[in-house]
Amino acid sequence: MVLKLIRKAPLGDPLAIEFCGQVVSLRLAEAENLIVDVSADCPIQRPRQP
Amino acid sequence: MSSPDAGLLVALVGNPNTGKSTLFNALTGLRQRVGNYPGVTVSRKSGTCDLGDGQKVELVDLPGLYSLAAASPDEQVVIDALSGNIAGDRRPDAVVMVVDATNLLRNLFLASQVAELGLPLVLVLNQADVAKEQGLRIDTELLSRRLGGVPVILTSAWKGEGIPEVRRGLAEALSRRTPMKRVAWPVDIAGALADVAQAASADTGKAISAADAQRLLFDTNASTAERLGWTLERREKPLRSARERVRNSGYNPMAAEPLVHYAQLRVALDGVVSEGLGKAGRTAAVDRLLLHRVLGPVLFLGIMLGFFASVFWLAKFPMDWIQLGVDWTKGVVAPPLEPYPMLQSLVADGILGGVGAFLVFLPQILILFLFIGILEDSGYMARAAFIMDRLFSWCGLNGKSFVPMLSGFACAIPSLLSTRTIEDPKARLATAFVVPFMSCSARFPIYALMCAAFIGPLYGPGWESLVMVGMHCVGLVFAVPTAFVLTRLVLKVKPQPFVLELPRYQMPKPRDVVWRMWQNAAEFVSKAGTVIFAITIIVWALSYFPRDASVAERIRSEHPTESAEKVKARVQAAYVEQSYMGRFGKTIQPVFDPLGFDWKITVGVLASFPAREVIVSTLGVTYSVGEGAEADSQDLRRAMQEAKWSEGPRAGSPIFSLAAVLALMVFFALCSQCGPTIATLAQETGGWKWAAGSFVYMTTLAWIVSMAVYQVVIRLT
Amino acid sequence: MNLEAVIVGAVIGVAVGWLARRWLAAARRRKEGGCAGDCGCASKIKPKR
Repeated sequence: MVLKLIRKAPLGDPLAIEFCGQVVSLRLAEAENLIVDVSADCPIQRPRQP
Repeated sequence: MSSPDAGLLVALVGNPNTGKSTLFNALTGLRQRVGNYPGVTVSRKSGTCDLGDGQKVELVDLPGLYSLAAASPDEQVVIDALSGNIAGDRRPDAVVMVVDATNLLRNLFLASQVAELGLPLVLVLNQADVAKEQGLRIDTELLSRRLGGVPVILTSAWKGEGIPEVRRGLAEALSRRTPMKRVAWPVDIAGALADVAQAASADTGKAISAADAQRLLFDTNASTAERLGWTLERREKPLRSARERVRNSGYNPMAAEPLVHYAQLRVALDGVVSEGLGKAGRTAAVDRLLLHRVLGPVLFLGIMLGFFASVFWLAKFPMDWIQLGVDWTKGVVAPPLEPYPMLQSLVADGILGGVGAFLVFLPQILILFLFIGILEDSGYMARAAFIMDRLFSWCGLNGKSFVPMLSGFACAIPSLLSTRTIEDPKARLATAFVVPFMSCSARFPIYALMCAAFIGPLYGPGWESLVMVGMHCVGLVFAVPTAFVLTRLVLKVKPQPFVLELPRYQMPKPRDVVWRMWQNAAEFVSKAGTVIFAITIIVWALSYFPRDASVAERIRSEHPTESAEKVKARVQAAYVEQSYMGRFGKTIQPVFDPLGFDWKITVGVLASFPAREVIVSTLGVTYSVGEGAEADSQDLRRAMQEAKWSEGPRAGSPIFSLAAVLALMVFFALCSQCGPTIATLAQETGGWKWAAGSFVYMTTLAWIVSMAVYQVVIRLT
Repeated sequence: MNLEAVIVGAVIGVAVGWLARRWLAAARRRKEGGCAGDCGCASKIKPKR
C-alpha cells in the first residue's frame, strides 16, 4: 500500500493523503496517532518475530 | 420502525460515497419510512423492495461506514442492526453490500468483515459506469466464485442500470442463503479469538459469536464488551493475554484485522480487475483548481456567497407569499367572527399566527437543503470542509461547521438541521450551540427600525450602515469564544480526528436531492412546527387574557374626538397592558431597568421570546400605533422618538436614548428569542438540556452585555 | 359560560396538554433508559441490555 501526500489544504492544514485509491483529509496534529504497519508484501518489510 | 412480524428484512450496507442511498432509492422508489434509531439521532431509513416475483422485502438503509470498528454512533448502529441487537428490529435476513466498483480492494474490507456475521449476501459493484470510463473491466463471475458463490452484480444506480439484476440477486441470496466466504485467520490469531470467545462466554454466560469475538479482540472501544455485559475487571486480563498472543505471531493486534483481510482480498481479486485504457481522473484536475492555494479560497468564498445569497434572497419571495397567504386567510376568516372577538383573535393571531410562524421558515429550509444536497452529492461539501478546517479547528469546531454558521445568518432553524452533516458529536453539539448567535434575518427588523428612527437621523447614513453591519457581527464575536470554552472546558468528550474522504466529483441526481430536501422539510413541519404552533397559542393566551371590556368603554369616553382607528390602537395597547403578559412585563421591568428599557419595551422583549420579529408589532401596540406596525412605519418611529420617561430619576428624558437604542439592538443580537430555534435545538441534541442551556446562556449574556453597553454609553453621552 | 369561551379554552387546553404530554413522554423514555429525546422514535423502543 502506498501513502501519497496529494496536497495541503489552501490554509496549510489538513493534508490530503491518497491510499488504497481513496483521498482522505488528515490534520497534522492527528497524523501522529496513526499506526502504520508495514505489510507482508512490502519491499521494506520489517522483520517478524518467529 | 419495523414491525417484527413483517416479512423479510434486508440491510443495505456500504462505505460512504458508494452511491448506497441512490441504490436504496432506486430499489424502494418513494415508498420509504424515515425514523430514528433509539437513543441516538441516527436516521433509520427503510422501504419496501419488490423482488420482481411478487415477493416483497423490507430494505433498511444503514449509515455508511468504513469498517465494523465502531467509532461513531452511526457505526455502532450498523453493528447493532446487523447483529440484531436493536430492540424492535430483527436481525436482517440478508445483506446487500454496496461497493465502489472503481475501488474494490478498499471497499471489500467492510464486506469481508460483514461476512463474519454469516448472513446471506449480495455484492453490488456500483458506479460501474465510472469504472468503465476509467478503463476497468471486472470479471463478476470469477469474483463470485472467489467469494464463495455470492451473487455479484454490476450496477450504475445513478443511471438506473443493473437494478432488476439486484432484485433477482437478492431473491437468489434469500432462497439459497449463501454467505460470503469468511477470512481464514492465521493459527495464532484464530487461537486468540477462541480464547477471547471462551473467556467472555465463561464470564457472561452468553454464547459469543465469531463476529463479537473479533470486535472484542481487535477494537479499542468497549461497546461490544459493554453490550455483552463483560466488565472491565473481568475482560482486562484475558484480552491482554490474547492480544499478546497476536503480537507474538508478528502482528500488531490493532492492525492485524485489516492486514489479514487485505492480504486475502488481494488474492481473491487477483485477475478479477483488468485495466484498459481509460480517461484520466477528472477529479484530480478539478481539485487542482478548487483546492488551489489562492484560487481555492476565492472560489470557495464565491460559491458560499452565492449559496448564502440564495438562501437569503431567493427564499424572500416565497416567504412573502406565505405571509400574504396567511394575511389573506386572516382577512377571509376574521370578519365572520367579528361578533366573537375572543374567538376571532384566537383564530387570526393565535392559530393562523402559529401556522404562519413555522410555515414562513419553510422556503429557507427547502432552499438550504437543496443547496446542501447539491454540494454534498457533487463532492464539493467535503472540499469546503477541507478548506475551512484550519479556521475552525482551534476552537474545537471543524471545517464542516462552516456551512451551518454561514446559513445561520439567514435562519437558525435550517442551520441547526444542517449540523447533521458533522459526524463528530462534540463539534456538532458545539456548532449547534453557537449557530443561534449568528444574526438571522428575524433580527433585521429591529435593527432597521432602530437605525432608521435614531441612528440615521442623529448621526447620518454612514453611521446607520456601520451600526447595521456591526450588529450583524456582534453574535459572531461572542460565538467563537463560546465554542472555544464549550469544547475545551464543558464538553469532556474526546474529539474525533477529522478524517474526511474527499470523494470523486459527480453530478448530483436531482431525484435524490429533491427527495432529501422534502424529507428534511417534512420532518421540520411535523416535529419543530407542532411545538412552535402550540407555544404560539399559549403566548397568544398570555397576551390576550384577562380582558376587561370596560377598558374599551373608558378609552372611548376619554378620547371622543379621536378617529376610530386611533382609539382602536389605544384600546389594544390598554388590553396588552392589563394582560398577563403586560402585568408580567410591568413586574419584571426593574430587571430590565439597568438596560434602559421601560415597561413597554419589556413587554415587547417578553413577547418576542417565541419569535424576535414580533418586537416591532408589539412596540406598535404598546406605543398605541396599532397591531400592523412594520419596521418602516413612520408613526411608530415618531411615537418612539417622542416617548419619555414619566417617572423616576429619568422623568422627562427620552426613553430611546442612544444608549437604550444600542442596548436594545445588542440585546436582540445576543438573546435567545426564538421558540422554533429552541425546539429544533432540543430535537437535534436529543433532549431539552442543551436547548435550555442555550436559552439561559444566551439570555444571560444578552442582559449582561446590553447592560454594559447602556451603562457605558449613557455615561459617555 | 358561552360557546366561544369553551372553544377558546379547549384550544388552549389542547395546546398546553399536548406540550405537557410530549415533555412527560420524553422524560419517561429517558428514565426508562430509552430514547434520549424528542427524536420521534416510538416510546416502546429502547436499546437492548
